[in-house]
Amino acid sequence: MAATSQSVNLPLRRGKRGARARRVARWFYLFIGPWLLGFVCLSLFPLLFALVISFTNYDGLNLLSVKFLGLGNYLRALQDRNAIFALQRTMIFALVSVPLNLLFSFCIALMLTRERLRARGVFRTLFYLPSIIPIVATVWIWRLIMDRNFGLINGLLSLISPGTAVAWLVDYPTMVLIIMSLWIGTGGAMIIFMAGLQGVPRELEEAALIDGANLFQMFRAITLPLVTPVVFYQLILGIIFSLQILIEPILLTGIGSTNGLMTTIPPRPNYMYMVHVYNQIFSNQRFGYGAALLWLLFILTLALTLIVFRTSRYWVYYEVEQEGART
Amino acid sequence: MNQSRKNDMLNRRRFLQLLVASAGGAILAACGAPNPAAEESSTNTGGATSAPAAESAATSAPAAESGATSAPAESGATSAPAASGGTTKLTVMYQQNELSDDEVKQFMDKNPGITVERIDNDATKFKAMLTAGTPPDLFRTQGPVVPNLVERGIVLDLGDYFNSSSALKVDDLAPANNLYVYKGGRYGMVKDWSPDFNLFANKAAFEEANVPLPSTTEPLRYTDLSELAKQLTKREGDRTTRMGWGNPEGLTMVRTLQIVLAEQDQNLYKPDFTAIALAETSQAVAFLKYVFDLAKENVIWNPLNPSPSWAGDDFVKGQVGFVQYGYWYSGMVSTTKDAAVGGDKAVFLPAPTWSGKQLNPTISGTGMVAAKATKNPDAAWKFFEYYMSGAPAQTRAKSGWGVPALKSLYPQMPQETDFQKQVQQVLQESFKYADYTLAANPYYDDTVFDTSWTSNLEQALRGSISFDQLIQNVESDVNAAIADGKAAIG
Repeated sequence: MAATSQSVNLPLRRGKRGARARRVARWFYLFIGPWLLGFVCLSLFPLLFALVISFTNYDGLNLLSVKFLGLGNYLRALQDRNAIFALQRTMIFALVSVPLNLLFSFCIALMLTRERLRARGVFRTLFYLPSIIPIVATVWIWRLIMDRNFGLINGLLSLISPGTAVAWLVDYPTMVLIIMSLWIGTGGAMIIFMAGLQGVPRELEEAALIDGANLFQMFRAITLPLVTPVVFYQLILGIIFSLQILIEPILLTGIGSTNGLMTTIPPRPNYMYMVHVYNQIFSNQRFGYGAALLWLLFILTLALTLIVFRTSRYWVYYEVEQEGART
Repeated sequence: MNQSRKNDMLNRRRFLQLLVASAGGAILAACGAPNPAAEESSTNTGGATSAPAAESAATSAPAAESGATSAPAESGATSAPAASGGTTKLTVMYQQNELSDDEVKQFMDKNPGITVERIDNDATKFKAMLTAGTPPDLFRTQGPVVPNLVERGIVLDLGDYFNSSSALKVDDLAPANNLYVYKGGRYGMVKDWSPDFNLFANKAAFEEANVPLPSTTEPLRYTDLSELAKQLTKREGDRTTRMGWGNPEGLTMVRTLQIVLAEQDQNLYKPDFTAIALAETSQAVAFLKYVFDLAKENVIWNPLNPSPSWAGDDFVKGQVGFVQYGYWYSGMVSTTKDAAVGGDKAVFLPAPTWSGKQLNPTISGTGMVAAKATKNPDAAWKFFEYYMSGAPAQTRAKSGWGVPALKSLYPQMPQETDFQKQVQQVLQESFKYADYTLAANPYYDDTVFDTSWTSNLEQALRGSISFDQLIQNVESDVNAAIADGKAAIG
């Protein structure tokens, strides 16, 4: 009613506002249109297509003779011992690597935002460098370093104890994978943390120091709460990326014949969920089943993300008070 | 606000309607079957058609230009869109190191009516193109995959083209080309091939281990190889500084096993290819146990002590005593002559035998096939002929990276260095045992066997499963994949 009376009382202003709104809307849609079109064609449609084929026995080549299996692929996944094993390994990897990545990148960001640190630019570049090296090159460097017989680490250890041959990539593959993931991921996360830390108002920290807080107290009461939205963002991304790890375990610790990537299998401890999916789709030609596995992963990722969102009200600081949030 | 202005306004609902319509149109355009009329107008502007051979009554190929005929005699159909100045577009999915830009250009210069676009070989892209109904006209594959492609109706029978071709005579085809023959049809050709079971020995390793080099005329037994592997393996403490044998699985475990069984007149697959009976076939179990024991003794690269790279690379670096590859690998040894074990520092040996009967066929046979859905089969054949008998084939023959697909090109294999001459002597003898054609299963991709083998071998070596369980797991994985494949074909 109020709107109606306003439109009657102020027709001219409303007309100007309307024209402006249309202009703004037009530009808004013009700019967002290409992205949305790309999203629909390149993301939404493939996702829905994958959902459809997850109910079929599509194998990548039999589109004309494809059969509907109902929930068959999903039920198969629940009984697939390799899928369950791979999921367990992936969860362990995520549980260890995500917190470690947050911790390392946050600590490095803290150090590199200190104004008194000399050559900050050099250190920032050095820490960020691993993130921009192509993943294949990175993994091969690590293989050369970690190889049992000809690797750099064992070569150095052999100087002290000749003949040392620790099978890093076979006996400790998950540990190596986690360390390598840290090495690759820390730089990118560090940059985001640095942006967050630089957004913490200096006057608040200075006020805390004047009030007698020591550095740790200042960090705990001022800095950390103000960057929790960044921690939250990084945590969500970390969970998503760690559940989808694929290339690193295959290339880092893959073993198999010379017949290409499709016959390359990581050792059992590094048999991650996406490796199983890749194996099912490209080696076993089970596109339908692979799509079902991917949708199950999507549901799991969504559930974990929602749980983190639900808990965020208890530990993420929002300048605007959240409904139901702890005060 | 009046109705017309309301209609003019781009609100969220209208925007989303437009968006959905655009996206739907784009998706339908991408996924829908291509419109033949549109296809023809866009690729054949001169009006000369290139309809499927059996249906077309059109035109003739400029045979004089290419030195080869194209049309199957009985169909009376041909390509030759060039005559009227039109352009037929061919898409060829092949790797650049096997089909150079210069070779493509040379073909187009000689055939101005045909435009060839080479795209990189990519399994995912291929499946996407196939799903969209627009597969590449010609594409790269391996011989043992051909039955699977035929059963799915993906590849074109080129038998009639072969029968009427003056450039590609069936009598001149090397035996490896039989991998492209299935149920009476001839679906393509190898680009080159190799007897795949010869050995390459590292001379220095034998010398250092004080082991005499094996004969270059008499084949070794596999039992001899296990002894050699032990003698040539070199360790420093726990480190393996030289592994005795690089790759007992050859190119793939499953196909190597098939050949070992074929020596003993046994088959891995049941006659109708619907399953394998691994645990029941004692000869198969014996060979796999042999490999398992070698892995356990750590005298071959294995899941607990894997190769730092791949066995071929390790060989030229002097990190293995011997490897089992085909003639193609001599190309790598020759071109890395300055490496630790390049050129004359290696020696080419006959293929070993398990039972005493010698078999040394190709088990990969990389080559080219044409898509059944091609709109330009005659032009595709023209390019196929050029690639298989023209300048690219000559270049490949001279390179030493594979035995030519045509017997008439055999003399062009390189024999300049001492190593190449030694290789040729052994190779010519190997040809006597190369006629066997691997029985390829049409229902599944046999990489399943190798992935299952590798994964279960690791568990068996760690002691978490027994060898018998390993065999049962592999059998179960493979049979499940075959069953799925059979159901998918329908």
